[in-house]
Amino acid sequence: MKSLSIPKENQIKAWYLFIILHTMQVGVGMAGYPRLVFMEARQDSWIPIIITGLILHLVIACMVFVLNSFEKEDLPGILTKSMGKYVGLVVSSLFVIYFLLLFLSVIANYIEFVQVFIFPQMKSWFIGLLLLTLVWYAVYGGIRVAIGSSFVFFLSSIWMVGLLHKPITQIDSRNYFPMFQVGLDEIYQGVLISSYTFLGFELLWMVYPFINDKKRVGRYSQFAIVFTVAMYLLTTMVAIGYFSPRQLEEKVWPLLTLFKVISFPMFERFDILAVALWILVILPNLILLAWMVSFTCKRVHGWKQKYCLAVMIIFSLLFVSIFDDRELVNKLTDFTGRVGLFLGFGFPFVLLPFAIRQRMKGKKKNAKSS
Amino acid sequence: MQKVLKFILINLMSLTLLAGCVEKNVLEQLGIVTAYGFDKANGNDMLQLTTVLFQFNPDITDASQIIYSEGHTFRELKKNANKKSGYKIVSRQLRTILYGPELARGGIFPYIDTLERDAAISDMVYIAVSNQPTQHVLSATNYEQLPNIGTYIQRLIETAIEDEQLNSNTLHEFTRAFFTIGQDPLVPIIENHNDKAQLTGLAIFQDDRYVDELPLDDIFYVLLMTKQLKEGKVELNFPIESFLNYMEGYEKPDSDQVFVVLEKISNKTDVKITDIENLKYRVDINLEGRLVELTERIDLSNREALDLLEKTINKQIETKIEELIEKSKEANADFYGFGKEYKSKKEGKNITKEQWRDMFQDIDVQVNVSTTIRSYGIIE
Repeated sequence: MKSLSIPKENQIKAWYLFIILHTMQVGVGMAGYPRLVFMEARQDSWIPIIITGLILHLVIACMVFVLNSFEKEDLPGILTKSMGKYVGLVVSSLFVIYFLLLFLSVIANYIEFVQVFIFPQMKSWFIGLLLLTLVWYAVYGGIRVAIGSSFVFFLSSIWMVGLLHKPITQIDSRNYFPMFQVGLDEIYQGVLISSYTFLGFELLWMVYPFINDKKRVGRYSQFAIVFTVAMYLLTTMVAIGYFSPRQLEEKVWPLLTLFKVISFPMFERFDILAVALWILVILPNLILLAWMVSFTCKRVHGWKQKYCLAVMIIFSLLFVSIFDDRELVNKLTDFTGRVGLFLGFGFPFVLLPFAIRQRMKGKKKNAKSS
Repeated sequence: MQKVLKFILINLMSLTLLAGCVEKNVLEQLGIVTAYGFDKANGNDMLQLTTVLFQFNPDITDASQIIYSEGHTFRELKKNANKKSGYKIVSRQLRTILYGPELARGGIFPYIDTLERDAAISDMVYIAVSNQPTQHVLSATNYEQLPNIGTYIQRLIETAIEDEQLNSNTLHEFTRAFFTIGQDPLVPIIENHNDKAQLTGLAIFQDDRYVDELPLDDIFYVLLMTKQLKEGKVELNFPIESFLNYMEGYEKPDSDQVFVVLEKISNKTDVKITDIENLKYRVDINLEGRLVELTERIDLSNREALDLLEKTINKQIETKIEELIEKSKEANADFYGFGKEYKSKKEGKNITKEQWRDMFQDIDVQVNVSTTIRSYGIIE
């Protein structure tokens, strides 16, 4: 497989990583996350969140180390270089399927939101069609359009954090006490459950060759993680304070329920709008994931990206129209989370020895040439 | 190829405009529900639903409508109500839900649960009960200048909450208190007197059952302990005797009781467990307020008189709070939330609701109130 050589006009600045990694990590998972982690770790939920955050920092550091060792390669390039052509091909294809799984779970979950909160009668395929057309359009424009649109969507959705001020006024601080009641086992379970929600940072594997100033990749990706962890910590703590324990256990999407107390004189039922606005959180996810799937597909098999994209879009459309019951969406999400635990969190460490070998080789070469 | 794709893409994108066509809700064809009243229907275990509808139609002079329907479940009640109306009944603008006496005494959670499950119903809906059939309350025809009785009741409750004369009891707050171990809801009572709905008291709930009643004025002593007040008001009375020395010579007391009204009361309350094993609580309340009414001319420029007055007020409030705690023990309904405080301090195994009910009888609360009178009007 050839290394990528990206023309100057297609390159992006490293600080975009902050935005795109963050938007990738924050998505559908966020709406249900406070409940999931609370069911494991109760009022001490902040412990597993922070631990997951620390693990993530390590994972990102490892990814950046691996990527830096191979300099201009993305994931399929690294895999073929380190594992040989055939193994590389198989593992890269696994990643394509994994990215596709992520994509499907995001879109299926969002369709479910829309049907529960706003349009119970709207057919899954129709919502899917609308979303996928937008995704197609954005990815069709190439990486810069994909990243640019996620940047715009980030700016147009981040203000929603401010909406939490109303639920915050109704927090009962006694819900956080007594502290440190959680056992090691529950912390472990909490970290496991967090894995799906924090996925999305795998984007770094694919987007790395496009970065203009590679020295700063580490810094901005770590910032993105800090920001994401802070966001999850905030929403989870607000949800724990706002709901009583039993109540939180019953809410499927605590975050969206939090919005149900927000009301403005000109907009009395703001929660309805909030669900609609959630599309701004979802779209960058979908766009970047679709780009990842189609681009990796192109890299691995040498097919044209637009064909990969078209096939993927049509497949997803069929998928969401056929599988649209809650049970299945949940299973898909769980499965994706479990796969992500290995391919997302674990895999960078698998590549670590190869990266070290690559560095040694590079050193020898340098020593010889000098 | 490129052109064909673009053509398809542009056509597909125009589909987004069709999103508005999914479910049409024409405003003039909707019956917008502003209040529901739930009652037990006569004899059997059927329910009766009183639906207050409101229509947006410039041609109608009386836009408010009331529909009665019977059924076993909320959905059935709604369906039956729809049979009696030419409008499509929607509940996204629901403001108040009223429960009748028999229903409230039997437990209202089954009827709350269905509302909680429904994404169309806001969490800001007020829950209230009535000692009269809700049908009677909602058919009151005097609702001031407001468009319908549902909006009127909402305003009635909202004004009282803003004025700190009532605790807020929205759907969210009710379910939160219901689910919390060591806390019980306190629900406003609304009744129809002289063809007008009005707040008449507070219902003490044990879980979701209406067990006892408090006079509306006692809410001050509940809010004093649970909320941060900004402009609380309270009227107190005590015997004149000890103040006789501070009255000006020419003044003869009109009666043997003095009435005092404090306003703009702000408080700082600290509820602490001092002994977790023996369930000993200590409540420190610092409150500050303005004296706006005093029925006898006591010389307040005298420091001693003022001190004595403050002390008497402290004593009064302490006794009143202790009385209310006794009352809550009698009803075995912990509307102050002592159990929640216990639960947040007790490490290790969690207690259940029933365990707390037993333990609640044994709690011992020591109340210390300290009042500061900031000003006493423009005369001394």
